Amino acid sequence: METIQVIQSCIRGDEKAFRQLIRQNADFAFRVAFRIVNNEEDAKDIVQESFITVWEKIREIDPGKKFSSWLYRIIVNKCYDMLRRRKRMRWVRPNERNRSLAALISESNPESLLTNEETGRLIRHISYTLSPKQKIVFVLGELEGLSHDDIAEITGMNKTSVKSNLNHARRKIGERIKNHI
Amino acid sequence: MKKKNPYSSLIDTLKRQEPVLQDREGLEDRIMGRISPSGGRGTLHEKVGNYVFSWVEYGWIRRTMAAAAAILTGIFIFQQVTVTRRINDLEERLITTASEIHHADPGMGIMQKAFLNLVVRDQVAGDSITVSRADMEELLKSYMELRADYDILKEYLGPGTLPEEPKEQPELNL
Repeated sequence: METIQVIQSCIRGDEKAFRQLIRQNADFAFRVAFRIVNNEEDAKDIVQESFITVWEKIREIDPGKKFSSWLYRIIVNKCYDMLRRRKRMRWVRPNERNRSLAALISESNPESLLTNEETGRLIRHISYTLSPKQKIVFVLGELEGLSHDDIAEITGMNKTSVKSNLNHARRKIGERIKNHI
Repeated sequence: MKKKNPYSSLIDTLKRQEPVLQDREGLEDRIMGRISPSGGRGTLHEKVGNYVFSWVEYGWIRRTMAAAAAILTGIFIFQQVTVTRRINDLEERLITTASEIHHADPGMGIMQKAFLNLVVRDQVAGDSITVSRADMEELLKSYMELRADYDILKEYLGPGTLPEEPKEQPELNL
């Protein structure tokens, strides 16, 4: 069944169709959430809450827009809230002298296979100095490969702000990588 | 071959690392459980329960029911207070009556007073009846009419045909 048909069924209250919608998008949702929050349990919570929001607001979906963009927006908003909460709670500073992490950065190559935990640690480590907005723009732009227009639409920022945040993020991450090599 | 800069290399590595979602089924079930109370897998008993009590999902119904419950509770408390007050009032009147009796003789001992109080209470509770003044007057009127009819009948039938009147009339203590 096409996504649009699945959504139509969900709007009619079909729970089986919604289960199918989750099955189709859970991996994608988890990937985005995990890359932003860098923690499996938190990412799962965000996926869960995001799909519940999807179910509650599915009637408000704009048929002219892609479902994935709408889902991106919901996930990003929830991740943003979590990052802000963490900032208030003074999220634990990663260990700067972590040798295995330094090795991961210096020896990283596209062929290497990392576990979820390693990936999470790596992203958390390089993006530690970024603000929540910068981190989201970095993940969407660099890791998800979205265009500036898409990021602006998902985050609700204007295009200039997206570019500015992305440049800041790149510069800060570049400095952190330099410090570890 | 040109060596890639570390930033690009790291980004490429991270791009290729697809975080793997573990226990997807469990996550699906949790989501389904959250969106519908039955989770789509409930028993008939649970479904009936959910159907019957589904109104609790509506905020305005909950608020209305809560307001109605508060009003009914208020009415119940008011009724209880009123009834209690009336009972207390009646008891006070009874005690006043009893007090009047045993205050009549100030030389009476405390045990005698207590006994008298007990007797009066019992009498009031068991051997007395309250009749309104209007009913009593109606009763007297009926009695007087009956008495007149009896005299006429006696005169008509002649002496010795009807039994004699009782010599002592019952005393009416009004």
